[in-house]
Amino acid sequence: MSDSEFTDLLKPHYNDAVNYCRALCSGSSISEAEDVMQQSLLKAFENFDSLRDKASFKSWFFQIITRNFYNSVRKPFWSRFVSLNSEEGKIAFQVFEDELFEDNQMLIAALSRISKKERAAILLFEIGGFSIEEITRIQNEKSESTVKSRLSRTRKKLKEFMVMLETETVRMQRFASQRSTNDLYHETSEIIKEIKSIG
Amino acid sequence: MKPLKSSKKLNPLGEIMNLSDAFNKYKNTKHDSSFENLGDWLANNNSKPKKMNSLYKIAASLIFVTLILIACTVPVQHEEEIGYMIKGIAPNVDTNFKFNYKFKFEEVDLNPSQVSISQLLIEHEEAGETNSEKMTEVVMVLPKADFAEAEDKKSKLSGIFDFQSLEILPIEETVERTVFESALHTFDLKVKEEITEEEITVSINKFLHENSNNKGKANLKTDKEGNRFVEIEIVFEENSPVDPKRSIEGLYKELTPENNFIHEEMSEEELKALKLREIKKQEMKKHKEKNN
Repeated sequence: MSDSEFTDLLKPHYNDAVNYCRALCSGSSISEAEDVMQQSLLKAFENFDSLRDKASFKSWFFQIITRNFYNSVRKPFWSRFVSLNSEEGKIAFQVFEDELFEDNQMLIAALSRISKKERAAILLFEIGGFSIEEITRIQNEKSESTVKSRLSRTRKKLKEFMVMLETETVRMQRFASQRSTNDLYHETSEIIKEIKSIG
Repeated sequence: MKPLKSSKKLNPLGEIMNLSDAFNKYKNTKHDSSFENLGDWLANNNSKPKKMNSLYKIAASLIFVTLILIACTVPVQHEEEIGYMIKGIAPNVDTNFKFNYKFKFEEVDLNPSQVSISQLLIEHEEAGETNSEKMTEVVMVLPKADFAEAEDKKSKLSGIFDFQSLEILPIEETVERTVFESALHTFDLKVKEEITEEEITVSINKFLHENSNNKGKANLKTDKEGNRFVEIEIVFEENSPVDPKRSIEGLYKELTPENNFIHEEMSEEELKALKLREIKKQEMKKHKEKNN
């Protein structure tokens, strides 16, 4: 096995894998997601020889990301702050950039409100493009029906959360637009009225 | 009349309600810039063992084999069992035993010549007075390190004597061998016997004299079937508190009526046996005279 063989196999799935990892770690900070991704890449690279069927590389790599994510949730609190890039003398590598996910803040926020298994299942389906059968194998479930019901439940929850978040955003925007008039005197008197009503 | 359409839930955020669109939008986020550095980063950060040059592999294998060969030739000393000694202490044998001992040995398939029986005087203090008690020491030497056989002989001996104590003592010899030979010997692959019969005899005699009252000489012999056994000769010792001659055969001889001095030491049962023996002898004499 050569190093380039690994990167060649990874290349077509790299974007999906990074997006999957970020969305999977939606409840965590960018640096934690970065650690999960880096550890998964290293683990996959080191164990690449053990992968016999290169055709199943994608599901194998996504499974590694999923397991690393579960482990990162379980690992001790203090160790979450030890980043792989902190080691001296090693080449810096950054996968995630904050601005890349700015347009998808609502989806990530909604995903952070569901359980990690539900999150993994919906992301494997929507981002990874895996079949129910493959998701069952990646998540180590016994039956496909478990994954099916999990997906259906997760979709419903996600929709509810997104509607709620969007309603909240619209209300905030409306409130902000109402206040932003050019009449400074009028705005000040409105604010005083509000404060008085609260008092 | 047209049927009424089922009331459709109005969604004020129709665009967002479509999850697939949201996910598709998310999926389009590209990370090509980070992929460019990935190869170098992986090569520098992984803990995968580096492949060894084949020349180094051969050199390392040769050094390893040489070291093993050198280590195998280092001589080491260890104790090796060359046989067992069965040693038992029983109370002084009674008259009945003295008459029938050969028969008793044959009954349990034991050769009496391989068993040394000697008398022992054991002193013990009772209320400030020193009392001595006559005991019988039974010794049997097996010149083969076969514990199962030793156990078998031990159980046979315990059927003959009423032992107070009976134990199997291993006879050990210090042997010097190389590590390789020791390994072969451990796995029973070594055919060559490196301990000679003379060495075994010396070790057995040394062990016998150190661990028993018997001062006789043990001789290593081989029977018709090729099995080795030990015969113990009885040696007379001057100024000994107990006459070693008083083995079973000795005791038997002592019971003859000519030796009057024994009568004082004899128990009632022994005296009865003697009287019976006398009566039988007299009857035999009378019978002979009649025949004549």
